[in-house]
Amino acid sequence: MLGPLVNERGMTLIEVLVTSLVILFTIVSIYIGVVFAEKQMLRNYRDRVATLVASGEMEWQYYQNRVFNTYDTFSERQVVIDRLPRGRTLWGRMSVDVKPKFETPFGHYLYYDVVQVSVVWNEPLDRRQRKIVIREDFYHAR
Amino acid sequence: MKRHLLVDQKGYTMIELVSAIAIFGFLIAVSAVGFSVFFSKFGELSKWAELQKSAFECVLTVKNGLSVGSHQTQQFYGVANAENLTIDFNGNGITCKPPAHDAENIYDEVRFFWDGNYIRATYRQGQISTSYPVYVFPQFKRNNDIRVSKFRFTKVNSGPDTKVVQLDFDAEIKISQNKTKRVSYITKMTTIK
Repeated sequence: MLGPLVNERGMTLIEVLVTSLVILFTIVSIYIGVVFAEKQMLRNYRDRVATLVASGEMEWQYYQNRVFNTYDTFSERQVVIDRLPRGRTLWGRMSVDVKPKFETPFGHYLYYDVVQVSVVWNEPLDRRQRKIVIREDFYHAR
Repeated sequence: MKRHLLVDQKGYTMIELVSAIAIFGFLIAVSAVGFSVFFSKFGELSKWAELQKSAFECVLTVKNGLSVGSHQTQQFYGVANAENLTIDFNGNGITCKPPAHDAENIYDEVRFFWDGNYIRATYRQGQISTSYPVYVFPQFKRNNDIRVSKFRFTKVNSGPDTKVVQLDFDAEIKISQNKTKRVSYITKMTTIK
């Protein structure tokens, strides 16, 4: 019964150091995970902002096409992606591109316009360019 | 054997005790700090994620419609399926009137508005109408940590009728004692089919 108490060897320095390293490694892993999650959330937020801006622009193009039978195309128009610390702004560039096309199902010509709205910005988190593209095909009335 | 054990009364020296306590104290302190940072960060990120999700869903609800009516008469009233849009005089709300299919539905409408704190909606469908405004944002727990700072509609198209509107929606949430996170969404939506 008193057997375990007989061994009073304790722990060697190596054992303590290894334990410390294991704990340190665990904590560093958790910290890296938290930092990564925070960055990913910020990236997702900016993607969502850009998607809403682009889909809103697509709605405007749809209105222009349906009411005036035209498009409001432009290139590199500045849009706000995010407000950064110290009063800075993360700007994106939005472009609208329209390409007329046709297809021939069952021998009939179907004309349509490929409307593409793109939003591009330089992501400060990884210093890479990110791009959101939304495409819709507007078929001509027959 | 018992006697043999008790004879050895060497014990630990003060240096050994202090060293052991110091090492374990350090390990426990480091672990505690690590885990507390993890849990506090986790809580902060969860709140921000909820805000993002709820704000995005709010924008989609305004655009695609609020579910109104009972199980058999359920419809979605919003900007995209409206026939007429009327923006409040201060821009902080919009009334969407869906197309009326019969005489019973000519007064149907939904109104989304900012009540100074949250985004709410009232609606009418046939004989059914809201007795009090329903909450559109936030959908999760409402408290003083959440604040809507902008919910503004502006008419985009020319002409007398409002057919395309722009929604500017800013909201923020207090994620810790002195930290806030915010979302700012801008989008356009149209009633044109």
